[in-house]
Amino acid sequence: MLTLNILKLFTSFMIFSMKKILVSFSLIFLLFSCKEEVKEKPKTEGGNVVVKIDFKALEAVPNPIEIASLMKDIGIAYDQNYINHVDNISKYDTDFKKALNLGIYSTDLGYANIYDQSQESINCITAIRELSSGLKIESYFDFDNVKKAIDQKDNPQELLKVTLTNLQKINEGLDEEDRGDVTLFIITGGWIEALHLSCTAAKAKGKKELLEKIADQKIALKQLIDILDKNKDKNTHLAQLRKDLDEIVAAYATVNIESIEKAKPAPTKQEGDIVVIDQKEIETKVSFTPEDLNKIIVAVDKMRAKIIG
Amino acid sequence: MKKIGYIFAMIVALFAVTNNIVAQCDITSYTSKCVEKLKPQSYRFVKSYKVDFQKGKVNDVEYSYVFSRGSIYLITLSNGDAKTQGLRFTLLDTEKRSLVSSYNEENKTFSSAVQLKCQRTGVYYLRYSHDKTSNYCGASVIGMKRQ
Repeated sequence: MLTLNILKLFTSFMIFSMKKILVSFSLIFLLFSCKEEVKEKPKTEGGNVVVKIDFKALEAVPNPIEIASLMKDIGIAYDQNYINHVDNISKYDTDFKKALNLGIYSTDLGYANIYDQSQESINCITAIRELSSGLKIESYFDFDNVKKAIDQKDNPQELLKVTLTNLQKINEGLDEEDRGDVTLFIITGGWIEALHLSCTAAKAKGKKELLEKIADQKIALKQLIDILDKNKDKNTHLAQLRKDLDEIVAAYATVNIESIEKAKPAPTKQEGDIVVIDQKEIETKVSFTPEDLNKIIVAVDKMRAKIIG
Repeated sequence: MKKIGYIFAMIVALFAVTNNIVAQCDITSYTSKCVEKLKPQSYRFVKSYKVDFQKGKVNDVEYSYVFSRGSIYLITLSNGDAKTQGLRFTLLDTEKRSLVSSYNEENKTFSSAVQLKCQRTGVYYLRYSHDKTSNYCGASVIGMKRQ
């Protein structure tokens, strides 16, 4: 009888333990499978609507680093007066301003980095870190890797790779958090700063390649406008940003870019492990006057002053 | 019988957890390989992309980017294969016409990079697909320099 009771007790204990194990496993399973759902999403500042944007369309906006690269390649000297001062950070007290200026400092970082300006790069990284923290997105930015990359002075490409990859991670993270508006602010801020750098340099040096690059920004502007038009009703800041870009849109109205295919596309060539395509059959005609440039400079300066002020 | 049920439930739970971890596509090393390919020809890093075919559930991954005339772009590719076998890249123009592919139909060979000497600024489409491979995770990087 005693043996039977012990056996019953043992069986009950086993079933209880198994149940506990099962509950534990179920909890672990739920924790892993529902990790996206349990993640706390920061509230949207300009309204309560979740902002899910077409992230892939936004990614098409050219990287501001291209303009900084061109400036260096055509022999324009670095000028620290072109970039936003780090001391301005204390002025940025809303998420809207923080995000726009995160974009501004990101472009400045690329500009300083291309010209091997270590101290300016560090200043920009400090600004980016503070603004990222304010926007609660610092977890997407691997600052340890950035520090390591800064120390690799013989490999400037590494810092560029690490910072640009981190910024992409921020955008992807914000996309997952349904904070597409913040991504849009960062990218617009970065684009405005690139346009400011190129316009300021063009005003002083007037290089043909730079003027062509400024004219070409009409295409990037169209990308931004298309995305903003689709999302401007989602919160007040998106609506404000769209409205603020109106003056730049107007300044670009008379800029005309036309590409003509003069012949059939040339066949591709194989050069080692690389397939090469040369669009030499395409001729591009650009209508871009000094008046157009002046109008763009005025509009960009006005918008940038509003962002960084 | 109950015990068998519990054990089965545990195996299912364990499998689901493990599967969740394995399914992640970590592109860190692939991105580094892509960046390495830019160096010999002095291209500057511009952008990197994750090419995740989600264990074969997805056939194509597509991105878009504004390429500018006057620049030469090198789009480098990397996946689990040393010769980038099975990762096919196609570049399409603004009208979505195919311009160039990393896969040579005649020789049935894959290249690990595509170079575009751009004469027309516009939105281009970067399409990645997998072809007879089990490497469903990879990366691609855009580098640029002046013409």
